[in-house]
Amino acid sequence: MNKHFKILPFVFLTAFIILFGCDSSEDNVSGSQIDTSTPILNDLDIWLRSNFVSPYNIDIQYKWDVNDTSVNRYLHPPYPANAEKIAQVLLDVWIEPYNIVGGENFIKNIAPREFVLAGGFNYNPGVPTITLGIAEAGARITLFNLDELDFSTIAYESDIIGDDDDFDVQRSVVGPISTVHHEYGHILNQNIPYNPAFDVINPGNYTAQWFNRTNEEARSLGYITNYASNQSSEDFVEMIAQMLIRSRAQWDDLIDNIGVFDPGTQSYELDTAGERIINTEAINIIRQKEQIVVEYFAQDYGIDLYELQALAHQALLDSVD
Amino acid sequence: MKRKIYTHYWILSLLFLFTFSCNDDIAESTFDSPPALRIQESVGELKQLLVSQPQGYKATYFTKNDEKGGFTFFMQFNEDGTVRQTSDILNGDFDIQTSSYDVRYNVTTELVFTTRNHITEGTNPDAVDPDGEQVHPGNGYQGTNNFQYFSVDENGVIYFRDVRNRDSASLILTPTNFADFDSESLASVQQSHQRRLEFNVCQTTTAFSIMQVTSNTGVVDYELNYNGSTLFAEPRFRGVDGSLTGIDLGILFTENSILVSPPLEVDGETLEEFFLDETSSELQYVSTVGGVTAVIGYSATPIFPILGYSELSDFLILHNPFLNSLADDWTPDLTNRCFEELIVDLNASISLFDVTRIDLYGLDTDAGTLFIGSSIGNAFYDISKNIIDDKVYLAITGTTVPAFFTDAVQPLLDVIVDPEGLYVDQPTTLNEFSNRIFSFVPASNTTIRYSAVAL
Repeated sequence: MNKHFKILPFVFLTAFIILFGCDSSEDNVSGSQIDTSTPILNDLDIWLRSNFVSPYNIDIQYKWDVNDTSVNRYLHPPYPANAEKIAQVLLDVWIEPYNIVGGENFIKNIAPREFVLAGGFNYNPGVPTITLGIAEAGARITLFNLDELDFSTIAYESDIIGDDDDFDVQRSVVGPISTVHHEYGHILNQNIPYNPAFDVINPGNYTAQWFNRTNEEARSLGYITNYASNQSSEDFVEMIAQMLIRSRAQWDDLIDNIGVFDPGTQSYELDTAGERIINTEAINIIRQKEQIVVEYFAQDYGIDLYELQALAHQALLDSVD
Repeated sequence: MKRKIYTHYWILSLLFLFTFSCNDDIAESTFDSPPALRIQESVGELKQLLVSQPQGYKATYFTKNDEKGGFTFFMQFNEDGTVRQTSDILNGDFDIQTSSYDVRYNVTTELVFTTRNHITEGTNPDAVDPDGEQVHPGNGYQGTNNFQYFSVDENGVIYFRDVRNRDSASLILTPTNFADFDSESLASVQQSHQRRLEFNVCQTTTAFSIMQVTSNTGVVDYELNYNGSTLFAEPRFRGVDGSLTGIDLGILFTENSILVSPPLEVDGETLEEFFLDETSSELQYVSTVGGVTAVIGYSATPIFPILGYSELSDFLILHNPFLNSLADDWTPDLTNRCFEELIVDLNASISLFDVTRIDLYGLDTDAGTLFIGSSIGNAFYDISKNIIDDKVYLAITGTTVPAFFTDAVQPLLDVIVDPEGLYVDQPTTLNEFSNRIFSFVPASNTTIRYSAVAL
């Protein structure tokens, strides 16, 4: 008993310490201090939310955020009117054709979650090139030079070698939509890789100095554009982009007339009748690539690429002002 | 037993101390509120400041004062996230445009111009000058769309900086206190744009832009090296040891003054604003602070003329479609519009041929050759060279060129073999590079200036 009596004060003291030792601070949990209120929305913002965010979970970022682009480039936001025009083109020429051939959930399932729009050209420092678009991790596509576009024009490169007017393509609707087809091709490839047989069709002339080639020279080497001769992954998506901006007849006409090109004189070689000598080797290479691309869409996505081509081209024609 | 009880109390006391000694954690509060709240407050403060001026702000914006100058803007911020702007940056397009803006917290509180308007011309890589020439292909004026809120003073003047050009860019917003924003802002930018054009008209100014600084220590003449395209100057002066020293000066025209950035520091005085001297017959802007006076304007002769007999190079290209554009990249304005117009007018007046190229050979000696290339053939003139009183005198000593050709190109010959001589200088620090640049101004017509690349 005496022994228990002695322990009792210690028990009380310990209980006191445990109960009151950490008592002086009070919890002060209140509501969130982060501002989650809806930002000011203008008519364009509301339209974009209705047509891109709600149905496709795609955000069209036309308002400037310095974190969306490289801080080392001199870029500016586009005029909102041009942002609206390109958004409509994206709906009609990119989303709708894919939805028709791939099912209404195709773009909902596989799409970049964000488009970033910039008004001016994105010049690459130290080299005579500009960046037309960027695809980042399948999540974001950035499009440049929207304020330089003529939305009433569809332009294709001329048949004149090295024609300066070929840049008109990038000032027409064809410029950004081919960029979207190109970058979306990368996103499809990130979901399902393409057949590696594509990489070994003609790897010998891939070069980082692709910009020193004209499109005509690249085609005579078996690449659909000069940028396609950069590396095989770009080659693959350039095939997609160049097919989808043309009708099948235009595409066949482009491929079947690839000539034998003399890099020394930067001209096509002509036969005795003065006609362009057709480069059957280059044509065969590009047709092999075309077959792999068509099989990729058919087998991996259940899409008839030629049907998609017809829809995308018609939508492109319909899109001009 | 007693010892045991003591031990227990010691243990209990220690336990008590350990427990309660850490209980009342009296933290000294550095801030009154949590970070999220402080961010909101800072954003709210700037938003409130911007919309607090119903007649808007006058903004002076130096995009990058070690390479480019600046521009004047007027901005009227609205509660609905829109801002109305006009400026003198768009080469005569003064229309008030409406765009959106936002105040955000990034690294710090930032004012972001989120859609295109006058101020986003600062980030246009294809920005052009009043002559329609690209300012700096791919870079433009090297500005930003995001401005970091720095401070506000007691007069409501708001100071911003640019994270990219941290030490060389500044945007300062000063309340206009206008009665009518639209009419008064338009009048102001039209006037400041006109001041910019007037300062760079070859017909009404000489080819020698200068800055003269007078202080207690004497008078120092600077060769201004003003570039009307980039609104940037690289004033150089000759030190006591004979070496040339240069500084960077961004230029911004207002209605009646020139602002320079960074400010000019002389004898402890800071000169920032040069006012148009309307009492002078010469075009000049004057700044006086304390005992220091500085003048920006033009002189009749170069500050640093070529003095050495053999300082000129052997092979000089004066006019060449390719190499002149190369020279323009290095030294804009050194071949001025008056000379370009002279060539255009000359070719327009000649029906038989066009002048396509002009070279000078052998000017490092006392005799050389003037070469004029044309669409019908090349012409060679033997020339002599003399240097007298800071001027170079070239004279034709012989030629086999047909008289009709010489007669046709006489306006051109007048400015090359000028009987009154040529002022020749090397007016740019870029002459540190291997291809030196020389600038020629005929003494009989100092509105003409042409540059030559030495190969």
